Amino acid sequence: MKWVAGFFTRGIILEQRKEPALRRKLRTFLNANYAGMLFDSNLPCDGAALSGDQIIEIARLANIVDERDGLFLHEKLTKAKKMKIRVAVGDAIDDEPYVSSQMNPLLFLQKEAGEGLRLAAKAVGNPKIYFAVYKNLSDLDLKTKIPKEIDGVEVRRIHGRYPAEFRTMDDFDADGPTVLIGVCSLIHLYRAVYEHRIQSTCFVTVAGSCVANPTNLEVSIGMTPTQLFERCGLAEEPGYVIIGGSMTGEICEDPDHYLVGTMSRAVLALRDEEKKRRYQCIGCGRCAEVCPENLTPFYINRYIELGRYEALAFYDIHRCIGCGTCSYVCPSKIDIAEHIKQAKGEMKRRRQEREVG
Amino acid sequence: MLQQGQKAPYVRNRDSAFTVMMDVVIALIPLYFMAFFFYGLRALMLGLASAAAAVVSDVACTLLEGKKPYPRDISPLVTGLMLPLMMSAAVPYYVVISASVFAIVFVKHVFGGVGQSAFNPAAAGFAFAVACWPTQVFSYPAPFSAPPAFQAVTEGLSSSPAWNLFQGGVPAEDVLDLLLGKFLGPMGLTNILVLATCLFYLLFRGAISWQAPAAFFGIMVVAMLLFPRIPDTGPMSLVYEATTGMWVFGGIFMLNEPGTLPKRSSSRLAYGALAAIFTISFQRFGRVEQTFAFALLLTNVFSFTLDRYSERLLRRLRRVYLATRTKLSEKKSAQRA
Amino acid sequence: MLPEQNSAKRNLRSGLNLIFAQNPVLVTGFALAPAVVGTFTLKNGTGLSLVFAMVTIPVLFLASLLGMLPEKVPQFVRTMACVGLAALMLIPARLLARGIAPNLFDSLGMYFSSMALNSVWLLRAPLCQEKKPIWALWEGVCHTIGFSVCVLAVSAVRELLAYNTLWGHPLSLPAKFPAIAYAFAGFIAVGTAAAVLRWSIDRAHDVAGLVQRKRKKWRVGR
Repeated sequence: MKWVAGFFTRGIILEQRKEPALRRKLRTFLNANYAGMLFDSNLPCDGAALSGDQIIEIARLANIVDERDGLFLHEKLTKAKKMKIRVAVGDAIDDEPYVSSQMNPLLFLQKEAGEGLRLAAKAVGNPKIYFAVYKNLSDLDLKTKIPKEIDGVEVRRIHGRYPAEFRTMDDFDADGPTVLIGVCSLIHLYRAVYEHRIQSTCFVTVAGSCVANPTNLEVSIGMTPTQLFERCGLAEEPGYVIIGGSMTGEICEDPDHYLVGTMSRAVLALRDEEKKRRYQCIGCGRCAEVCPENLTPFYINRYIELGRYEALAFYDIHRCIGCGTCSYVCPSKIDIAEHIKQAKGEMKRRRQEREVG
Repeated sequence: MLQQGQKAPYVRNRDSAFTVMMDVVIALIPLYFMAFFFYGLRALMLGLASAAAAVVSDVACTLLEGKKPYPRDISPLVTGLMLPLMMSAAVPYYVVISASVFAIVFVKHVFGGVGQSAFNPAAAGFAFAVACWPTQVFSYPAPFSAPPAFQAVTEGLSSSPAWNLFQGGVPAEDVLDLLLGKFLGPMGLTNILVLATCLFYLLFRGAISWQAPAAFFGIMVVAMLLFPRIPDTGPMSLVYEATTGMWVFGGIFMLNEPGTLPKRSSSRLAYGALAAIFTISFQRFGRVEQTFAFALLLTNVFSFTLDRYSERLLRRLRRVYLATRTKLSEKKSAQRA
Repeated sequence: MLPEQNSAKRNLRSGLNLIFAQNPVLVTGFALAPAVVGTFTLKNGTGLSLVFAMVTIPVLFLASLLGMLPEKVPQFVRTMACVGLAALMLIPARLLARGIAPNLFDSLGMYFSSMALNSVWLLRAPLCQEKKPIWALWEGVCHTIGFSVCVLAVSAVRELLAYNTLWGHPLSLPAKFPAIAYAFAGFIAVGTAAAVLRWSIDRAHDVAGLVQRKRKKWRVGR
């Protein structure tokens, strides 16, 4: 039944391009100043001896940030404990092309990830635990196999087309309230509990068409993209640098001075082979066919171009999740997702002005 | 930074407006090949004249609007190539040229150019030609009669089996000839097998979506089988109608013209159904032997309305779905507590 | 009666503007339906202009006269009086139309009669109550001229292209487009005429602006 549900999801099938970064071993690239910084605590370095509240306290002391949504892990766990969570999921979905900074640590640091998830589960009141990995990875190497079970924890695959991360909740909803925790922060939780280490590193995929050796790196927080490219080697001068996923990430204007942080997840050096040609909208309606939220980006875009913001509410613009599928499929290469993002900001600004004035 | 102005997402689909249009042009080539096979050089020259007229008038209109002409936009070429296929091979050159100029200038550019036209340019051009010169458009030379390429054709023209059907008679042609397209008819759309191949090519390439043609052909076929225009012919009626009528070509190429097609899949189904209903009722009560173009022009009017209703329905469904979901989860948590 | 409604300069100017710059059909969009559908021959166009004149001028004049009545007379009575006059004027209009062409009434069909309630006087009559009769008459005449200019031009072009005739006299032209006699071509013809008119008005404004600027320059130079 679940497979069928995945089959009928709307969205796009993407060439994932995760190899060879996913297959390669996770490497570390640390800044000597911060490596191995510890916090002071009298708590024992043994997960079994700790109570749930003590684990949350350790997460607070270690300053762990969940890379999934940028929340502090201890805040997230406290909130989850209050909500009486039934399922805790270690999120390693990575549905965007090139990005594998959650899957790769999950595959190569299996013990840490599994134990971290168990610790987090203990903190929120022993719910069922799973790992979640994207299913639709058609272009994996034969060597790379996603196991059915990692360190005794079942791995559930998220089926369906590209924007898969936003409907992960639905896959686990049957068992009760669910909390999703990023795998990287679970690994950091393990280290904090067993070694009392402060989170001073983050996991980043360095990839893209211009990178010579695409790799997943564990880097110190505060490195610059240029340093990472020096580590992995550039095959050619990058056309532009992106921080974050290839679908939703942002352009990095200044790779020499931008600081990579926990939320970065990937640093991509890309270069478009062809000159980007823009066309007038031919009205083919492909954007409406693929929109995962079943909106009609065609009309939204047209009304934005006409400046008629009052008509946008009818097309439920607030339901847009910003996944970028509409821009991806558009044969006229219109930046629909970007227009919607700007229009949302503009509408918010106008609403605030109205409230003030 | 070498490249600037990139916006998320940074990976894009390879299809572009050019390739989408080019697929339609490629699908039209076999039809021109058939026309060349039956009527010789004149068929190709008609296509060339019409396409050239369309492209030239498109460029002229773009310049008049104060924009730069964009050579990779080949939508006028598609319109120009479609028009002569629907007419007789003996049609004078001025008919074809003025039809395509009318289609581009008064139907496409008056409403705002690419993707904005309220009516299908090719259908409107054909309707214009029929309204102005019905005898020239509807009198056909026999296949393999080799009409002269450049002079006006006046001899050996007669009406098509579609006219027979329209008058309430039964076409006298052999069934095999009908299926292979060897009968008096529009120069490009007599061979139904080639048309079917084009349909599958376009569907497979993703140049057209399946909803509108599925609804259109489904209703047309069912209506032809259940209520044949000629009584007591049974399934043969379907063969006559499908081979001699313009609606097979129209359902593949003109119905799916992206600018006028509704955008939501549910409204596309309704659009196809509406086009079929109009085509059939125009066949019964109309005054012209080929009714599809006129029916399509009427259907175009409903395109935006259908989308609007579809969106309204979707909004309602979305709210009902979200409300039931929150209610269910509340119920569940209440049960657990 | 308001004084500024009756200044001679203002009224003369606004009346003349109605012929081109504020053309009732092409710029303001009044009486579009008959102007689009009925204008496929020059005779029809003339007939439409005739009915327009026969209806609009007397009704506006009457409205101005009604404005002199005491305020006790309610508005609906005045409107009904105008409608009654407009309907009555159709009878002499038809008699006159027979003089132009015997079958004019039939070829115009319902558009002949529908001119009785055209949107020009429906909108202008209440405003004309504030005006002196002479200015109401002037406005009616100018509206008629504006309407006739548009309708005659469109109908002449359409007759030429559709039938290759002008006022029924055959002319030899290279091409003949019978489809132009249909209603959709009327829309296109009126739309094109409106576009051409607006374009030329814009150009006229440009030229006027240029002349003014040059004059200023000279003044500064002196």
